[in-house]
Amino acid sequence: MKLSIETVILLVVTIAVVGAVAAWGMGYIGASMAGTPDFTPQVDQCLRERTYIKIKNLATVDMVRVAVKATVRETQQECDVTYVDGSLVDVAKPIKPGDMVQLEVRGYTANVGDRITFRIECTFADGKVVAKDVAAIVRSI
Amino acid sequence: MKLSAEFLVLFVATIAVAGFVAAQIIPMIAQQAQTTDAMISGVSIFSTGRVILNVRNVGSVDITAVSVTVYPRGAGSQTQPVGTFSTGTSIPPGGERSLSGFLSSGGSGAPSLVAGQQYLTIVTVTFSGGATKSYPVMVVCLSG
Repeated sequence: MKLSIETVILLVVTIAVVGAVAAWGMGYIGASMAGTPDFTPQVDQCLRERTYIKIKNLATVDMVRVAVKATVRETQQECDVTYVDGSLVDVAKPIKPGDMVQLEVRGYTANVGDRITFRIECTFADGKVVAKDVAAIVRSI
Repeated sequence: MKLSAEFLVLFVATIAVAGFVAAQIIPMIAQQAQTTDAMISGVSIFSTGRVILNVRNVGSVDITAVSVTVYPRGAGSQTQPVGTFSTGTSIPPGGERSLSGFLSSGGSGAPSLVAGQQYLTIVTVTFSGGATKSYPVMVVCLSG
């Protein structure tokens, strides 16, 4: 088979274009997969009047709201959630992608030895909401 | 030397594919090679000065030392810490260690910790090579 110089140039250009499109496509798919909103919750300390939890933002977008419901003896209670300095997680002070922060959960009623299931509901900047449960036993001071 | 058109096409295609694959893989390898990170959990401090914590190495280089510095809640960085605890350790990537010890106040006597009060605990992890990372954790002091 004998190829003309035009054919060779056309083939090279085609390969280059296909490579570029594939690279863009893989980057887009990768970014989309990495952008799946997710977080890891972890209970640091669970006490009668407050619980410290850690949250790591595994998404590629900001986490702009965190809501927590505590279930104690089959009774669900809405809790107050703040950073440990007392400020709120919001658009002005979000949890950035990759960051792990400690939050303070208050406003529930429980006794020492109770098992609390915390339903942590995180809202991301793209509007997606992810909820996870984490349980802990109330410790005495 | 005269090269055939088929050879040229094969040659260019090989370079294009190899370059593309290398461009995808090299940043991932470079990123993994430099990861220094840890997960701190189970931090407890007791009124007797005892401190317990778990350190998990989620990076790619060894952890060689861990230190804990305890401040009263709301204190600024210039404030004298209530106590400090340092220990040498060896935690390989993926490994986890439970560490415990007693806080030292630096002066004479045990550090004064009050059960039920909140303290800001700064856990500083030293990695092989000298890099350090600090992880702040708020805890309530427990009795005992």
